[in-house]
Amino acid sequence: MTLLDSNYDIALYVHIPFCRSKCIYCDFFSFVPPSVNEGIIETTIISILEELEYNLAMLPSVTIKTLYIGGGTPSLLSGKTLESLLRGIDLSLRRHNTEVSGLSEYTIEANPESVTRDFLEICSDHGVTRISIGFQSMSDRLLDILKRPGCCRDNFKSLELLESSWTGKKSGDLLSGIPTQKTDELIESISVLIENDFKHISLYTLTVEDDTELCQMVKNGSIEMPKAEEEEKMWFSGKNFLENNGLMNYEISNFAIPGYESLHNLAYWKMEPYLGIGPSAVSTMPASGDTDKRVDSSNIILRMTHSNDLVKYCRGRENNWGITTESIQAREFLLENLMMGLRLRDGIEKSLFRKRFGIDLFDILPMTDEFSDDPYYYRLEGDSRFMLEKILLSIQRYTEPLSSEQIHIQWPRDTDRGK
Amino acid sequence: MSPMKKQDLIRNFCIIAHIDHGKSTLADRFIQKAHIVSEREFHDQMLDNMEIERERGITIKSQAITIPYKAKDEKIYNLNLVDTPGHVDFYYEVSRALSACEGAVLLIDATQGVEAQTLSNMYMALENDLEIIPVINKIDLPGADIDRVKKQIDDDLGLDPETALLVSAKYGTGVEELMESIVERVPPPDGSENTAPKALIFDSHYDSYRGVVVHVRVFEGIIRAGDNIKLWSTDSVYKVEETGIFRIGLEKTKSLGAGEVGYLIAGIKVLKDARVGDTVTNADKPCNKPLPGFREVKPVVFSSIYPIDSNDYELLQMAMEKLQLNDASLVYEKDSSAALGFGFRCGFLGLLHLEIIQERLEKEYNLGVLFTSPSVKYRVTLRNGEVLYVDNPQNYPDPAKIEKTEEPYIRASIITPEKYLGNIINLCLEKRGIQKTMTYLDSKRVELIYEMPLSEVIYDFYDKLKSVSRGYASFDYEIIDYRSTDVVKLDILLNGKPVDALSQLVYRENAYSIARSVCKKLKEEIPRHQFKIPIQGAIGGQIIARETISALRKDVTAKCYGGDITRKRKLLEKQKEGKKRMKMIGDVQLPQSAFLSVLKRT
Ligand SMILES: Nc1nc2c(ncn2[C@@H]2O[C@H](COP(=O)(O)OP(=O)(O)O)[C@@H](O)[C@H]2O)c(=O)[nH]1
Ligand code: SF4
Ligand SMILES: [Mg+2]
Repeated sequence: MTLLDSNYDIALYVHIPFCRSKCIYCDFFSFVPPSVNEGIIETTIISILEELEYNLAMLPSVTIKTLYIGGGTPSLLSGKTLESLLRGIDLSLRRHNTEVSGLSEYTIEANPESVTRDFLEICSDHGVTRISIGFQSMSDRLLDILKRPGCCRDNFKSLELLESSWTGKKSGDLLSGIPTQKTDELIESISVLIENDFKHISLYTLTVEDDTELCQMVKNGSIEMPKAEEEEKMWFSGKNFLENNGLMNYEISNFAIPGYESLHNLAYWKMEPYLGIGPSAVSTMPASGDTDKRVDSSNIILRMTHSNDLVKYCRGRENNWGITTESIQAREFLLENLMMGLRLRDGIEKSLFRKRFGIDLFDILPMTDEFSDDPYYYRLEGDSRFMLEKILLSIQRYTEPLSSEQIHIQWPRDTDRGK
Repeated sequence: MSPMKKQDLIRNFCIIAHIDHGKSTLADRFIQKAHIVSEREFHDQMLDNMEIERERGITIKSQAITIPYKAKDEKIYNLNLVDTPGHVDFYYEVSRALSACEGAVLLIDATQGVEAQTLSNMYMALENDLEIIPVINKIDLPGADIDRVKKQIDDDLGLDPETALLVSAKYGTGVEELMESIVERVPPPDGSENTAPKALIFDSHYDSYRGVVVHVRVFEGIIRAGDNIKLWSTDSVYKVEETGIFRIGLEKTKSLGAGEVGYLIAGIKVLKDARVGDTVTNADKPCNKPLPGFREVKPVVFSSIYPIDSNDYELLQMAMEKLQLNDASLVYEKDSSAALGFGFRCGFLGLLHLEIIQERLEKEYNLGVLFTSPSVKYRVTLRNGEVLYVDNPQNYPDPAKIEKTEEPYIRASIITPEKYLGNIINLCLEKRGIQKTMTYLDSKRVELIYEMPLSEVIYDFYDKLKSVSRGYASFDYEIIDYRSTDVVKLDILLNGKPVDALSQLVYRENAYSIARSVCKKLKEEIPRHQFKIPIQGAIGGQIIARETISALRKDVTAKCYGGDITRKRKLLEKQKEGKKRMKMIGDVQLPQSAFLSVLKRT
């Protein structure tokens, strides 16, 4: 099986696995000092560029629609390293006949304490159009609890810098449900971002992930998570506040003024092909079963997950960057499409679904009159989160009886493109 | 030297102990010492041969075994060990097992000292005139405090601490000496073999090849194969096919004579016909009066069992039939519920008995089952004079038609060290107890006699008593009569719909607090759904308690990007697995634990 090279769009993700320190709740993959130093970072960046170059060279016909540099903390890179990363990406894209300026969206993640004028300028110079900043909260008390690397002053300093030196789009991450957090504090944090003209805000619920410090603390009783209902109330106050200010809840945890949605993330939720580069990054791509056959006959879907072992990763191509590959069964892929697609307020486009799976959405999910003539299945409004979950939890019930033979996957199709 | 009688070489004894003090372990050592079983064949805890017993470490069914032991006097004695169950629910079975013996080994954990059942068991042994040998166990443990336990033996038990033996059942230390002292101190049985036979049924079990095997202690006369025997309480006659003694299996003997402990097989079809405590005699030449103390074991707690998967009803029926073969105290009949479909209404000796049946259904028969709230049996007199017995809330008549309702009362005997008296009196008051007497047994221990409704005891009384007395109070009860009461039917509504299987009959004054606590517990147990679920407690349509389970948002709604998809999908697929242990009631999934939590109202 080899990755399919044909004329389809991909979302490209680059993972920078370094942070200043580890936040207690975080299960993203990142290294923190003392296990990293500038030398290791540089080596990793070189490997990332090699991997990117190799992949783009092997996929000459695909079109890169969006690019997202996430982490970890990309803003942690020194000016020099960041410069070589972005320039390297730039060059690879050019060799691939893609101009950075031709991307629909080019995002980089940053943490407030490492946002500098330099950082912003280097990003702008290399065509980054969107910056996504992990504020989490505007309260020092809460930032302390989370062991965030920065404090409230860093938040405001970064906001000033953005004001003076950034013309691109801005997105901010905030958390609700932090132990001891009050609704007022959440609303205050949101107001700060709205006042600073953030048109995209992600409002996540702090969740206790396995193998995090937070998980340990909850288990040994040294921290108490807010009660589910309280947390829920808080989150909904946040949601209402955001929507009253014009930022719509277009995905479960994401809010945007219409037109400012994250295109890159929308590709995930719509289950379009995506290529992940860097330690721990994941790709989901179409593959061809037999190189002799016409590519169109293929309906194999591969999920490739990078190892998070830096040594394995940096051995590069000879070790395939530490990637393990699984092939996703048709039924699983269908379930994933429902699972991801139903996170969106707009739900799943029925015609696209039919094209992708060769079956009607209504053959699987129960139809209610309410939705029957909606081009999108389950358009979610208002308190629709509950309904969404109702569907999410029942979809495996509906998809279970399906056998993979009943599903004829055509993915991606030209119809998957664009929009 | 006087001529040796056969009985002089028999010792009938039991081991009594607070739970976990090492009864089963010591029994194992006895068997090993006696070399009945080769070391290789030996598996731990021989006597507890039910899987549940091993898991819970509780001896549920009493069993017996004969151990040949060569004493210092070079004679070979037959030591008959009668194992006893270890919980108040089985009080009656214990007392019958004790009455089959002349002596009792009273085992006390050296690290724990005297505990509630140590006391209650000792009293039971004294009532049966048994010779008590106090034994301090687990002396191998670093926390063993032998002096303290000796002082307790003196102060709390009123026994001579000098006579206490020191043992480690685990390592076999002191077991030889213990066997020797059983021979020396436990009196041999007496009773003439030349009179009409009189034997006590202290247990019975079902053997799939032989039918009911009756465990007996013969007090007088002889029972032989071919004899016609009569069971006193039912006047029924059977022909003895075989007699024998308990080795690791059954070992056939020519007869069972006065003083012996053994079994008889007599074509008895169902376990219920061989009632524990009953007297066996010869049908042709009966004794003139039965052994004292027989009482019919009647179920006191009723609850319905339903299969989680309605398709399993027939499997459940088969399982119940099989369970009843081994458990004479289990009674059941068909039942049905709007919410749960077909099931069985069952009677139990107590809540532990109920839990054991549940576990056996799950472990031995691999059935997922639900139990409804347990109830006592109420006596309802209607205005038209008709009298009904109701143990199922579903059958409770329209209150407008009821003249009066009565509920069973018990006489409870509680023995406690003086310092917990205040706590215990408060607890009894809370449980509608009426104090009858209060007697100082000695300077420190008090016996309280209370009359109280059985319904107050079946839930959590025993647990609460243990907690307010730090485990020192012992408790026993018997049912005395029916008394007038004020009962209401408490309904539980989920999502606005009453769930018949969650209804219960409660004392009116308690209805509010029970309704609140049930709603609260259900809130904890029912997983959050995709929608809000109101939980309400109601009496005749009037809502008296309410809780709401808010809708689920976590997990599925946490952030999710390209890297998480596989994991999230697996989570989703796994959620379905969890549902197998759930019962759908309307739109709501009720986990088995939700039903269980209602059983226990704390
Ligand atoms: N160390 C030690 N442990 C013991 C001894 N006797 C019993 N035990 C342990 O105590 C626990 C309860 O013993 P068990 O015989 O099941 O108690 P029962 O509930 O009275 O039948 C088990 O874990 C035994 O292994 C002993 O002499 N020494
Ligand atoms: S900065 Fe972000 S990626 Fe790094 S540890 Fe904290 S939450 Fe995780
Ligand atoms: Mg035991």
